[in-house]
Amino acid sequence: MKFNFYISLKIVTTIFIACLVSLSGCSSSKPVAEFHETVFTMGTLVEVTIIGEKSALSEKAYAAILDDFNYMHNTWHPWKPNALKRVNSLLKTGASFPLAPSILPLIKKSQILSEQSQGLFNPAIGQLVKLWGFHQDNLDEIIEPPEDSSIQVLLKQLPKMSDVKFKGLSMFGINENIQLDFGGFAKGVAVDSTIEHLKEFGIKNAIINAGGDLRAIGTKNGRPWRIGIRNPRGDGVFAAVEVSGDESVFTSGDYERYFESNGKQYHHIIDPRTGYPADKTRSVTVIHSDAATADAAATALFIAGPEKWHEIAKAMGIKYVMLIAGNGDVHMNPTMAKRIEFIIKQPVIKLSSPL
Amino acid sequence: MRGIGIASLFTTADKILFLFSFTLITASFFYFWQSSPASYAVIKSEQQDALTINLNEPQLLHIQGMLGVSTLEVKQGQIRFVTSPCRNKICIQSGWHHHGGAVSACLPNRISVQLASHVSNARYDAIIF
Amino acid sequence: MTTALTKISIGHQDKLVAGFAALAITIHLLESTLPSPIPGIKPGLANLVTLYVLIRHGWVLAANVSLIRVIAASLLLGSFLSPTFAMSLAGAIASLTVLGLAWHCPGKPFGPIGLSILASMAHISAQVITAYLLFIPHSSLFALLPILLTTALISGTFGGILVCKILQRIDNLKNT
Repeated sequence: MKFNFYISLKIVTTIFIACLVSLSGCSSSKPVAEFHETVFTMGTLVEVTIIGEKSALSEKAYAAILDDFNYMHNTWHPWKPNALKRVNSLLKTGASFPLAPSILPLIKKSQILSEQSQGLFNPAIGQLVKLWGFHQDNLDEIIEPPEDSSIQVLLKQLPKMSDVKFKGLSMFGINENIQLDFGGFAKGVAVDSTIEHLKEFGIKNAIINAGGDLRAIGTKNGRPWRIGIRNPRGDGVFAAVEVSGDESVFTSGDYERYFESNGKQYHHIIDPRTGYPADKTRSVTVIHSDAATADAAATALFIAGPEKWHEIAKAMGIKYVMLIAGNGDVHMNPTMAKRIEFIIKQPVIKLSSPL
Repeated sequence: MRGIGIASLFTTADKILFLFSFTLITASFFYFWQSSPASYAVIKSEQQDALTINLNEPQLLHIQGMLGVSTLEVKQGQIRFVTSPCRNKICIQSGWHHHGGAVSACLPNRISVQLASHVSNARYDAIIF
Repeated sequence: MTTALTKISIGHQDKLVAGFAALAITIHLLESTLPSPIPGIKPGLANLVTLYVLIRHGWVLAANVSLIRVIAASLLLGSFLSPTFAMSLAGAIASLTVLGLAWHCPGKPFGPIGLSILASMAHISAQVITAYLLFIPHSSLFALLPILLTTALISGTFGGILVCKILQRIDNLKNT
């Protein structure tokens, strides 16, 4: 009898150990060097994560991209005195002037994106943005929205990116209302530039998260990066998405910069067609390879709204879009729906046709 | 009659199995419930030195920022902004934070709060909004 | 063609299976009316029928009773081929497998309580794994596992004790 008992005990133990072993597949792997730093720059909080490199290298790379960020922040700032300001004042005059190397890449790239987005992404409407009061740090000072008449005046001769012309080594503007404001784009370009710089250091696995817009390269120790998507009004993370290889995730929302007047909120994403903040959308999340396109697309699709986003996304070559409409409806294309994992109760999703 | 009577219904193997299961279940609590809540946070402000605080000690912190003083509340592994001199109070609206790796900030006041946990397997590698 | 109708002869064992299956189905249906705080948590009294049949009539009959119960109950409740059905079936198969192994351990070391515990733990583990694979591929689902295993242990223990008592009563009846 005793002999039999021990055999049975062995069988039972084996079964339990088998269960434990199979459950252990859910665990993580051995610890690897993680570099993580946060800094205030480009007008927001930037987090840099570098995995699997010696700390000396990570520190060096981080210091280098801090310099990059500072330079870009100062050079592309929409209203502080800098190269962009000079370019803007010269463009207004219509006279020819030499190409500005620090601003040129921004102009060229945004011309392409502006055309693809049917003008919804339009960095040339800086005057309109300024009219609304968003060209200052302290939004407390705005008391009320601008007069409709002032808006209409600007709309009559709405500047476009194609109003910036090139001839040989010179450039000139053909619309006196033009004012370049790369607010909805500079972050993307900066993230691209700094990621490339990290790659030059030989870094293969990293994330640069600039105030909620990020580009991630490589993987987290062999598994994809897990990105949490949060509602900024404090409801915690409501969805998650995994990225790997080289992908950017950018969001545009009506909560980023805004002021309140007479109980109504006015945010900073101005629809170039109406001159008023786009009001059909709450937020747009875009996944794309390069950050600059993702940034511009997030803005353009926000303005496009629930009716037109699909058309614009297709034109811009964007493959993953999630748009939360003003009434709370969640619109997605099928491949995005496969990637987004809702942590809370799954909302009603309006699935579009494939992109 | 009840108590001892029931115990006799267990065979030896049954008793061993019961204890085994009990241990297994207790272990499973530890294994599956390591959702890595943050245990400490690093508060950075341009106006003062970085501050590392234990999130398990309830406290109220006053941090000097560029615009003024922001108050942060710490309680049971969570932290949040209570008051802040900024205009839009987005930092306050973002509520309690407890995920390891999460970051909360008052941008106008230049204060950031980075949560960390000892378990590096934090649920998310980055948070976007 | 000749009408080669096989005469289905109903043997003694078939009557046993039918009777026990009917009992198990009834209990299952009655239990399904009970509200449950967490979906899928039920006292699992119908499983006790399976256990009794295993002990008194062997594994094969117990397997029959169990599977018939799962299928018939889901047909009656209208949940056939639904997610609930998939989970029930997975749970039944898992607990039958474990019971089969345990029952045929040399020397039969496990009494009704041990068997009941094994069956209920296997049942609930299989259900969670099925739910994860088919319906909720969130690793956070496993956070429920410890709680569910605890209730499985408790209900398994009490169920086993109940079966012991029933066995005693029936033996007493047989002897008198």
